Amino acid sequence: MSSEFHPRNEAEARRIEELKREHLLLDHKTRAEMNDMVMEAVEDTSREWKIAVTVLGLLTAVSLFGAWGYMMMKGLGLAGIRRPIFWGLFIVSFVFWIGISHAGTFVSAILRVFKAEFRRPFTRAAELMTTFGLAAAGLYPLIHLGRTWRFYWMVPYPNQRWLWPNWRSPLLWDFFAINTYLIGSTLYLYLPLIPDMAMARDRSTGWRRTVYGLLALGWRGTEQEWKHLQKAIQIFAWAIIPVMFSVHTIVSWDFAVAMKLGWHSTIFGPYFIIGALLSGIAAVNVVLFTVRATTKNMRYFIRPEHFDALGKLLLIISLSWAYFFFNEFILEWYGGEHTVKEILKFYMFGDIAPVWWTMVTCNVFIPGLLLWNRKFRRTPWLMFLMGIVVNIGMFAERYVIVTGALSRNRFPFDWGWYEPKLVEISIVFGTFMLFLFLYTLAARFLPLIPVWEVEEGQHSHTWRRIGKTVLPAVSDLESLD
Amino acid sequence: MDMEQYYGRYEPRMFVAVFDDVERVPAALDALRQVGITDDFIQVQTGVPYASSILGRPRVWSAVPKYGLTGAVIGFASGLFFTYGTAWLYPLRVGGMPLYSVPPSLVLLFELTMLGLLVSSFIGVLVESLLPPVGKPPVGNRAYHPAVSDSAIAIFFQTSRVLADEALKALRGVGAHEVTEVEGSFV
Repeated sequence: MSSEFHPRNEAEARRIEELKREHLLLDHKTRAEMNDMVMEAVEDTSREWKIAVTVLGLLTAVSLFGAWGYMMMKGLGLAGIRRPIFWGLFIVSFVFWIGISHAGTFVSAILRVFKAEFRRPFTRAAELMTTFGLAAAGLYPLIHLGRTWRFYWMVPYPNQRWLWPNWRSPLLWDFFAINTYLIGSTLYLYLPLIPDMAMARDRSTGWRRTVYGLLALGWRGTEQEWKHLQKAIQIFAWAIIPVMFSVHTIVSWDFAVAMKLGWHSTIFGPYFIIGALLSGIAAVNVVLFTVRATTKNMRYFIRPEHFDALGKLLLIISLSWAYFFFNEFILEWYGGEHTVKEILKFYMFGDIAPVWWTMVTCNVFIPGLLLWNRKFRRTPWLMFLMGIVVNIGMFAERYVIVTGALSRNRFPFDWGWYEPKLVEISIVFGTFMLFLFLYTLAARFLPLIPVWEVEEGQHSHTWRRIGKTVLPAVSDLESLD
Repeated sequence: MDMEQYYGRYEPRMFVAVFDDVERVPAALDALRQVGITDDFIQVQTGVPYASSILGRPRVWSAVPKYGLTGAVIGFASGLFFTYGTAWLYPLRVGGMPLYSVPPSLVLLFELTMLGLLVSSFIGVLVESLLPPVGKPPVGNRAYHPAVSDSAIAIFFQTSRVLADEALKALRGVGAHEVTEVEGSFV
C-alpha cells in the first residue's frame, strides 16, 4: 500500500523523522526486512543462550521437580503448613501465577477489541506469558494436593460406585476454569501465529522448515483463510475476556465462599481481578525489557512508546487496585467485628506487618509517585524495575491474604504463625525457573513479533497535512469487509 | 491439429501474477475479468489481510461463528449433563441440601459453554480453510508463491491456453513483476 508523503520543507521533514523515531507504525520497513529481522532473532541460538537454557533447565529440574518428588516421597509434612494455616506458599504462588497469566489476555484481547494500535508488536510476547504463567499456576493444585496421584479424582467421570465429582466445590470450578483458560489462551496464541509460521517456513531450512511447516498447517494467505482466521481471532478476543474474568473470580471464590473472617468478602472477585491485571501488566514490562535487551533487532519493534503506554495502564490499574483495597479494608474495619479487627491489626502492626507494608508501598505508593512522570515511563530499564517492584508487592498481597488471614480466627488459642520451609521455597523458586526456561526456549523458536500484524498497522498509518503541520493519520482497515 | 492438441487448448491451466503493491491489484483483477476470466477462477494470496472491498473481489463469508455457536450449545449441554444429569443419574441426598442447585451450577455451565465456543471456533477455521492440506508438505498440491509471506500479492488464475496469452499480456500491462504458469490447484 502506498505510503509516500513528500514533506514541503525542512521543518516538515524533521517532524516526520521525529515521529518515525517515536512510533513503530510510522517507521515503515518492507515486510521482507521485518521478516529477516524477526527470523534473525529466532535463529540466534548463541552460546550464551544455550548456557542460559541449560542452567534454567537444570534449576527447574532440581528445585521444582526434584523438591516436589522429594515431598511426594516424604509427605506434605515437609511443608510449613500447620494448623491453623493450611494454605501456604503453594496457594500464594498459585494465585500469583494466575495473576501473571492475565497479562496476555488483557494486553492482547482487550486492546484488540478497543483497536489500540500500540498493542501490535507485543501481543505475542504477552500471550506467551499467559500460557507459561498458566503452566506454572496449573502445577500448584497438584503440588498442594500432597498425594498428587489422586488428581484424577477431579476429572469429570464417575467412580466405580457411579459417584461423580462434587460440582459444587470451588476446587472443581478451579479445574474447569483453569483448563478452559489454558486451552482458550493457547489457541488464541496459536491462531495469529499461523501466518507467521508460514513466513518462518518459507524462510528456513532443515528441521526448522519441517517444524514450522507442520505448525503453519499449509497456510497460503488466501482470502478465505484470512477471513476465517480474522473471524476466529475476533471471536476469541471477545470470548476470552469473560473467561479471564471468570478464572480469577473463581480463584477469589476459593477464599470468599469460605466462612472465614478476612476472606468472606463480596468484593473479593473484582479485587482479585484488578490485582491480577496489576501484576500481569507489570510483568509485561519486565518481559518486554528482557526481550528487547537480549534478543536481536527487538529495539526496532519494542520502543519507549510501548513502555509509555504500558506505564499509563499500570498507573490506572495501580490506582484502581488502591481503590478496591481501600474498599475491602475500610468496610471490614468499619464493620467492627472483633476478630476482623484483630486480623487487620495483625496485618498492620503484627508479625506480618513488614509484608503488608511492602504490599502497600510497592502497589500504591511507588507506582503512584513515579508513573506520573513521562520520562520515567519512557525509560525501559526503569519500567523493568517498576515491574519487579509491583510484582513483589502483589506476591506480598497474596501472602498476606492467604497466610495472614489464617493466622487469626475467633479462638485466640488457635492462632498461629506460618514459616515457609525449604521445600516450599525451592518449589516456588522452581516455578519461576520453569517460566523463564519455557520463555527462553520459546523466544528462539517462535517469532516473538507478529509481523503481519505490525505490517497491517503500518498500512493503516499514513500522513496528513493540516494547516502548517504534518500529523499521522490512522485508517480503520480492520473494520472493512 | 489432432484431437489431443485441439482439446489441450481448452484444458484449464494455472497461472500466477505477482505484484508488489496492492494498489495495482484491483486493476489487474479487472483486466482478468475483461479477458473473460471470472472471479470463480481467480484466487488472491496476500501476506496481510486485505478486505474484499480493497481488492475489488466478491465478499467472502465465514461460517466460523456458526461453528462457535454450535460448540457453545454442545458445551452448555455438557454442563447441564454434569451439573444436573449426574445428580439425576445418581441422586445423593444430603439433609437440607437441594439435589439440583442452580447457583454453583452456573460456574460450570459458563466455563463449558465458553470452552465449547472457543474450541469449535478454532476447529471452524481449520475446516472452513481446509487446513492442513492433504498431500506433499508444506502446502499439499495447492498453488502457492513464497513471495506472499514477504507481502507480495499473488493472483492465481485458471484459464485455457486460448485466453492465457491475452491475460498474461494484460497483467504485465498493469505492472505484474512476475507472470508465469504454475502447478497446483486452488484448494
